[in-house]
Amino acid sequence: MSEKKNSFMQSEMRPLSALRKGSEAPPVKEKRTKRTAPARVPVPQNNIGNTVMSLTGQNKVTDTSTMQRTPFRAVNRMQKVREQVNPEPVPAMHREADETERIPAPPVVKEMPERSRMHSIGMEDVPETMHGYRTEPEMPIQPEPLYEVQPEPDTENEEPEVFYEPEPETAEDPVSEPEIPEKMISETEYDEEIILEDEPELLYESMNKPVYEPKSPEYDNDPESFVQSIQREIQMSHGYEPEPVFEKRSVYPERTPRPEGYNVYEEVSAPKQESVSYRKRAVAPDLSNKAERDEFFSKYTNKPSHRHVRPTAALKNKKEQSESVLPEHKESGNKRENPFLKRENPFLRNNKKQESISHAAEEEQQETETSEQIRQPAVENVRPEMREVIEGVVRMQRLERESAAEMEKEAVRGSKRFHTIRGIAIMGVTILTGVFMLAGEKPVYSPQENRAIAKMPEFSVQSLMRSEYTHGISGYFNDAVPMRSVFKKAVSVMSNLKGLPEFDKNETAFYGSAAEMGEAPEKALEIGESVIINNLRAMSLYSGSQGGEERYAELINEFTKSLPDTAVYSMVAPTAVSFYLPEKYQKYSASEKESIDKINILLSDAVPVDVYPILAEHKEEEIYARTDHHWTSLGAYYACEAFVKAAETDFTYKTNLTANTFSGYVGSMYTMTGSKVLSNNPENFEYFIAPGRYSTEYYDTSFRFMDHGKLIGSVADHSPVNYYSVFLDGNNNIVHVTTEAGNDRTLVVFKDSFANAMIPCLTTSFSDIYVCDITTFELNAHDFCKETGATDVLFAVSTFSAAGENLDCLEDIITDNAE
Amino acid sequence: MVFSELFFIYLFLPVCVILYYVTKEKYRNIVLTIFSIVFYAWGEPIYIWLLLLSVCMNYLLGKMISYETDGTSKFGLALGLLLNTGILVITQHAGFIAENINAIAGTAIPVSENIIAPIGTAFYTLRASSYLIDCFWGRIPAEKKFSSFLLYMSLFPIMPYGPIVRYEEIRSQFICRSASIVNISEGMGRFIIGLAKKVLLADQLSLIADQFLGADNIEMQTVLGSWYGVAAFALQVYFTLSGFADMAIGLGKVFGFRFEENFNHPFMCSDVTDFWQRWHITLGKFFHDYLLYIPIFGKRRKYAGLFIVGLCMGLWHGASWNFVIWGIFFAAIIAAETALGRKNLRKIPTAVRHVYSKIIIAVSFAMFYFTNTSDMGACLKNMFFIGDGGFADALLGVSFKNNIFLIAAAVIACFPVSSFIKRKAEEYGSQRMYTFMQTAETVALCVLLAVSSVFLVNSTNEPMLCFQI
Repeated sequence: MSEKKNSFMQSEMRPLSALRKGSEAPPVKEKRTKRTAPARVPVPQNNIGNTVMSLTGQNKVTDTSTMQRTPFRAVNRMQKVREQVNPEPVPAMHREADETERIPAPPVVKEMPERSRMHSIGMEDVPETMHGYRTEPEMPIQPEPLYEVQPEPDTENEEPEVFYEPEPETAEDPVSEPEIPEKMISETEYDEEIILEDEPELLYESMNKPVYEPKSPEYDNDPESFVQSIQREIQMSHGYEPEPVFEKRSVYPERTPRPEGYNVYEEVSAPKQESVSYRKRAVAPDLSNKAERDEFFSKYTNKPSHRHVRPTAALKNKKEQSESVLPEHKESGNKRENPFLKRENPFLRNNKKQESISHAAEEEQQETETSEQIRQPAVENVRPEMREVIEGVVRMQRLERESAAEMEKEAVRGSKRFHTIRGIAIMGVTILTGVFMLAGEKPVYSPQENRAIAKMPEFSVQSLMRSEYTHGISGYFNDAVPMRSVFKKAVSVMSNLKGLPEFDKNETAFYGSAAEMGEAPEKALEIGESVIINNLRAMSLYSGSQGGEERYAELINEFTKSLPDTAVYSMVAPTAVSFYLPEKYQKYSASEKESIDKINILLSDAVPVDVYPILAEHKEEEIYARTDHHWTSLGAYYACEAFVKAAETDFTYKTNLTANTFSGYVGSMYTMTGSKVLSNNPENFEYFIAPGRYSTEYYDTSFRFMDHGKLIGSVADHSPVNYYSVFLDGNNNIVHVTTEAGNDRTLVVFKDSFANAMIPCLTTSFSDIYVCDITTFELNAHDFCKETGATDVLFAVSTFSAAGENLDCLEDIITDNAE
Repeated sequence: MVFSELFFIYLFLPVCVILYYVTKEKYRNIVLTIFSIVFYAWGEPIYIWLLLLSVCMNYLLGKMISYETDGTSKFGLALGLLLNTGILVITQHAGFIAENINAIAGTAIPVSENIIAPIGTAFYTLRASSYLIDCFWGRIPAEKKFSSFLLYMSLFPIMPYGPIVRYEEIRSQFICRSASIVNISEGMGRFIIGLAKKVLLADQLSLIADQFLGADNIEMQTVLGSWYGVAAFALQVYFTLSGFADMAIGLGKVFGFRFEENFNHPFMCSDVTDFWQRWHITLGKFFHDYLLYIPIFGKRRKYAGLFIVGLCMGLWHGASWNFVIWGIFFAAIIAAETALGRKNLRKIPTAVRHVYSKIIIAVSFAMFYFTNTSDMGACLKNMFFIGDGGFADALLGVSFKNNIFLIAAAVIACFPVSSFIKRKAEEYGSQRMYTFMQTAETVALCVLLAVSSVFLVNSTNEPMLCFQI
């Protein structure tokens, strides 16, 4: 094997110009001569792209589908004819014609898949070196001593340094000439004239030889990663498209549509045995070979890497010639300078690309002519029956090549045009939206969420250091979006596209976390945390909490004991989930009735007001809002009825109340779920006004007088999601209602929002009513009742408050704030 | 600041891109550095000083390491690794460590609940470590220009969520990179795809995951419900991370950088080893290259190293025991696969391998979700029929029906569909098809951007109940 290879190398290293020109055979060896300027980089620039790509192994997989697709009818025809007429392989001299089908396969990189795998943990093979790369015994290929070899400098430490610390453009250095071994050139260039009639398979063998073959000992520390890093760097610095590691990529330039039959010049896999190609081909430098590697690297340092080798005149001639017949490649115009050499102006741009495209046709023409000249004699020697076919193929190829070049030009231009359009479109949209968001009218209030929109923060050094200022600015920008409510509606519509459209009104949906209720959790679910929508009604699932009921009862008992002369009532209101949750979803909610009963049993001194039975009795009526988490005025009315019965006072029954009804009510459950089912099915909002006069005063949470106001606000002042806020006019502080009831009974209500709807119904039952929200109240409940002279105290909360977070608030007002 | 917020997309980014492109080429690095610093300082006005300190420190240590003398460079490396790990541990794990010391030794080190780790620390410390080790190994020379190193450490596209770009990959790009409208087009396209993954898929999937796994009484969850929730969570994590990776790569491309891919359709893996070659690739590579083969375990290093990597990877993801368990679990599985051998593994039918790997991945994500180990145990019990929750329930059916298109879209997006379509269209090969495809892509990107933005408007949704209940 190696013997064969060597023999091939030798044959390949014949002075090629001798073959070409025949007459003058330049000397193979030559003594070192002085030169005035260091000529750099003998490898043709055009080659680098291909070389690098194939070395990195990333494009080794050519797009086979494209290759098979290539409809060279002529080629196929010719192949058939050849098979019929001349089963033998076409003689070398004549094979020039069928180059398209015999383009050499790209160098196969055997090791790459494994290597890339090894980058992640868990690969099978554990490498021996520190960096995880296997080292294999070296198989050096000794070139013929065609040139003078001087003792090699120790490159082990020198090489990387040379590479990484490039010097600025050196002055003339007579000694340091860039020189290359002959072998390098012979492989890197397009050896179109090599005729190997005897050993075709050897040629192929060399072409298919793995690029990552044995390493040389110079880089035994980690030669390959070093090589790789350089390749990557070259790749990057030349602006080549780094191939995505995992996808098969075509050999086409990205963004270029593949015209039919375009890949005349691209690699086409051919059967190994018979495919001896005389097509011009580029061979990647074999980096396992020291000479080649040095040569390869020397391009990126301006120090020539091996000073002991001198090129012959023949090689120089060869180089010049070969550069003139380079085939057209995508990167052919990429003649940028090495960025490392031009530190003073490092930002060299990839501006030659367009030029290369425009020159593509010229190069194409040149190329075609060259190949025509070469082909001509070949045709003459063909048997007459084949000549016609071959000539036809040649003609067709030429035509195809021309049209392919034309199409490529068009395609590349098209691609660029589309990218320009896309880039401008996207950036335009972005910039215009940015301007719109800055200049548009910003909302200050969000009706759907019932909250104020974020405001621009005020600057202070402290807020800046705490990152409040910067976060405030971005928060303001994110929140105060012009036309916010329109966008929110759009989100609601689009969110419904996630699933099947609703079939009927019995559609069920869950929001938030939900699981079957087993034992009560440590921490109770809050209202809105877990919502089920069924039969157009949203219900918040109830969880109860461990020990919540006991704690509530304990607090009320404690409070009752502190006020022996006052009647204390406790009303724990159930929510809609108790009455409207279908049987099959019952297991997702704990039983509110059980919680209420438990509390009522535990209350020792306070009077329990059980509203559950009366509500259950009327559950066919609209006692709970469908789109809100509260009950309706009617539900509150029935609760009042139960309370008044317990408190033994007057009461105005429904028939004497004035009802006001408003349509279009879509309450808090819509804001929590954003469900289209709710927004599409609004309900009516109703409140009752009791006969008789009363006045309402608002106090702040510390019971300081603020203002006179209304017990029931105007619906027009509230958005449909907040109609429930008309009770107490949305006031969360302390409200004092003085009525004409004239029974000298003073009621203090400690409540959550459920009781708000009850107050209007109680105006004929108590002379004075103080309403305190447990979540905001800042005083001690006991002291407050003393101060106001309360005769009756009502704790009116929902089950969610009695077992949930609001218990802490209750505990605060009953125990902590004592003076 | 995160990439998926309106402020970044519509204010910071356009300003940055415009200024970048109007600036002369040689000043562009400066523009990028300034914007990167602003980006970081915006989110972390205090920790920016830590970042700058870390940059200076690592810059000097890099120089120290590249000294000829062996002792100096070894000392520099040791010091650098210690300091970088120190920054990482102090910012991310201080609370975790204190909690555990309290639990073990009974001390009362105060632990604040509200410690929020500064963004990007986990990534830039790894970047700095890789730089120092590479310097030590001679893979790269120490950077001479401080400005380049500052840009490397603070570059905002890779700051908050990676990928962990190594210095050797990026150093030449600081000197020379292309910048044109094609870059903007491709980069913004990639950015929008990442944004859509995050906003339209991940955020919506998180609702499902929280619905099925977030309940307090997780032990009552059903078998299918647990699997469903875990699958949704796995997809959520994937789309979040790969979305941010896409955004980072896209932003990099806008400025002419080319970063390594971070995800390669991980759910297409055939075994767990394969999964880790496709999942968070740069992180896997980092731990593989710098940690896996530390020769401290002799011949057993193959397996022992895996467990060390698993432990570190778990701790890197979060300061909680469940992440440690998660990392060790993966290490054990991969060690088992390694012990079995790749050839033997391949003998198993492909379908079986795929099912096996998906089960393992689902289990791992169940571990990933619950920071509370007892909840984690409950969920795992439920998944394998040992729980109390029953097999399936109505909730699951309702949720599946209500999210069926979302789930379908998410599953499809796990496969390389767009590249498949593109390839098919390319094979078709006509210019008309090409025009159609390009136009369709442009329109699709604009639509995705618009829809994602509308969803982002909704991200500040905070409904306030009209009263405290």
